[in-house]
Amino acid sequence: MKKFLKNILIFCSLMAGYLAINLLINFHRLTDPISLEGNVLIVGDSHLNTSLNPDQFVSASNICMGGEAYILTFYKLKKAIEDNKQIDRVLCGFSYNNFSAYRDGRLTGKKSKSQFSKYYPLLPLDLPEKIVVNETKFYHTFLRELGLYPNFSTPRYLGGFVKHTAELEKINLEETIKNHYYSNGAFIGISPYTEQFLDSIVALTTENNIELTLISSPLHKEYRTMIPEEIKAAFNKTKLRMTEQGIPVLNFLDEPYDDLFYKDYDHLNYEGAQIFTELIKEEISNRKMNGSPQREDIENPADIRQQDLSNN
Amino acid sequence: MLFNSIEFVFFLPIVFAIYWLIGSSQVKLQNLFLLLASYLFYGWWDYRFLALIAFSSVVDFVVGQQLHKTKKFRKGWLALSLTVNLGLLGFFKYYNFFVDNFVEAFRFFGQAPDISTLSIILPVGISFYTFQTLSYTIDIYRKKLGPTKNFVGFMAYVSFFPQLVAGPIERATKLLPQFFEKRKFTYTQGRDGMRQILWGLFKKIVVADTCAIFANDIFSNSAEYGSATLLIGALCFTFQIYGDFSGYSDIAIGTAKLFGFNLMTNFRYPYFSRDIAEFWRRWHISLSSWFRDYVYIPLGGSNGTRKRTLINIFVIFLVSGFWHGANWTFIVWGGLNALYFVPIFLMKKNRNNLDHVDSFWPGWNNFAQILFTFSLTVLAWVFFRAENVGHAFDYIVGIFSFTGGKWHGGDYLPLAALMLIIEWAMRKREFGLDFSDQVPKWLRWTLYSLCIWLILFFFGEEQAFIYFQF
Repeated sequence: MKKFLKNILIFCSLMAGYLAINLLINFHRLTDPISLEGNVLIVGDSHLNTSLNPDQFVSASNICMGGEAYILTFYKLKKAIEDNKQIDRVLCGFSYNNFSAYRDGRLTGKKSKSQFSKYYPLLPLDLPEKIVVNETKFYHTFLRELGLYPNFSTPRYLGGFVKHTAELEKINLEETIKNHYYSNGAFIGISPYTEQFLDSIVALTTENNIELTLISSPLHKEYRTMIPEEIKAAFNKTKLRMTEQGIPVLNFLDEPYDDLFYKDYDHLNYEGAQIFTELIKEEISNRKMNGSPQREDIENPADIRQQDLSNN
Repeated sequence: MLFNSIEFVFFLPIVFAIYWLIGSSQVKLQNLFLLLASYLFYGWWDYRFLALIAFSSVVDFVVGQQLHKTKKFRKGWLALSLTVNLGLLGFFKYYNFFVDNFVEAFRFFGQAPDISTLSIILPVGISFYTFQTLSYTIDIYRKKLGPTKNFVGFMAYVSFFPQLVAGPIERATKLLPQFFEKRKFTYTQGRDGMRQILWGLFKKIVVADTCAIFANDIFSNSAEYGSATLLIGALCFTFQIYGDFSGYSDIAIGTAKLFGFNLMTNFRYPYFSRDIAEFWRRWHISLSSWFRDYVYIPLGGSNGTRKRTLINIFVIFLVSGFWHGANWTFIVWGGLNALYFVPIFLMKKNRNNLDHVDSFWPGWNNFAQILFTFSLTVLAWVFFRAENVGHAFDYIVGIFSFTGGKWHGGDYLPLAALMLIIEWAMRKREFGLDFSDQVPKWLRWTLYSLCIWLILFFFGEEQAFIYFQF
């Protein structure tokens, strides 16, 4: 028994030593600063990732990532603000599918492994106590990325503006809607975390004296008509609450863009992004000059209430 | 509790330490402790079904005593054991299957009987421990074994945690006496146990769980894929089920070794078989030999007429298929294997390949035979994995439609190839990491480290063992 235990102990010590050396080498990944250009930061998911070109701004960075839930946007924004004190304006994506629970599925289901692999340097170890995640995959990601080999690759959570030159192909609309809002034929539900982490984003920007603007990029008419009413209601309710809190919401969801400007049913292509970016710049500049909302149909809470009533 | 779970990482060393601290001289106390640990292991999944194991154990313990005492009602006592054990198995596993098919049959004749199915949870491992306890009563009935008077030892034998939920299905004649002998820890047995556990975990986590990702995807969406991908899906499942089940067996046997027990070999590199008869001597050996000894031979085996023997062969394969689950797919899988087997049997070539190829390079003839047998097995697994028989036929038609399409899903097959290479090199030994002492220590430890590295790398895909559902 002694020989057995001795050998086990020596072997385990060697393995533990190997893990410890890798942890020491990789620890910087959790603390390395990220350096971003400009005072304007564009965050969110694939909607602003394809529709706001930072090169058209005087000085801006786009760190949007496809499929990113507000939970992840919050931690990414926190890190970006800590490391880049020059940021004074944040443009954050705000759309219908931010409210769909399918985004949460990316942290609990099959895709959680790839999500954690991208975002783990940003995420706190006690995240599973705050939200429902696939715990095994969550902790295993830290073990694999930090303990198993010296990891010198650059962080993959930053994202950026993606230039799509393709034009809209009118296929798979039902499939897209099904993926975004349904599971096994039934409505997937409203994410319990969207409001919570949107509020965290608001609080974070307020604490750091950063002006936050929520931006809703255009969606194709055919797509909009198929969005479940529950999602629309949740979106409108939050939009109203944000506006009442003084957070500007630039809502272009219903903007009648031609098919030529769409990459697919819910994303603009590069041509569309050129036009949309100019529009947003103009809106922001008008707001700066006038200090008041330009798109009253969107920003007047009374109008939103009216819109809600007509929707319901 | 799963062998590939975090809980087991803590459970095993604690149970190991307490067990050996009790000491070899306290066999009864060790058995009691093993019994409690086994019930904890099983109850971790669902404590309600512990009553079922306990009930089955009590019935067979009493039946065993009575079979020994009485001379008049021996058949009655055996019938009681069979009725209780197979009754429970039948209710939990097959009730809904029979009701569904009964209703379907009546519908076919224009009737619609009002019998509803029940929402029944299948107790994990019921098929395994039922067969294990049955071997006890049947062997006493056949006077191959005397009954035990030690109730705790018997309960520990039925519920022995390493092999409780997915085998190997042990015979009372082999395993039960080990519960009453003084068990000694030896360095060799402990080392081999750890190696075998490691190899089992490698097969389960690195091969089976990774192949499962694509097997699940491709079988679930088979209508959308072309021939190439469907073939890859079938290959992925072929390696998934082998890695999963033989991996479990290796962990079970290795764990038992740590406690001083020897369990029977359950797999002997079946994918290197040169014909189907050889495959069935190497695949799930504990079940095949159980059916041989308790079904095939009592039916007359191959001692009767040729027609009778062929019937017996079909019976054993069909029952074996049905044992796996209450679905026609398993029955067709069993039937298909019988069809593979019968020509070899009729040509009297079923005992041609009793041992593995000797040389490292198998030669073209052996290689072609291995490849052919493997291909037949892959096709049969399609029935085993498919949702229903129609799905299986569509899947196979899809493979042979040569529609091309993208090659999708082969990402993890190199890991399966790595397993095959190691097992081919080690095929004369008990398991993949069963090195002889001539292999230098540094090389052995490097290979163990590589296995552990791969296990830790792929660990996140934790999936339940397939055979738990049987």
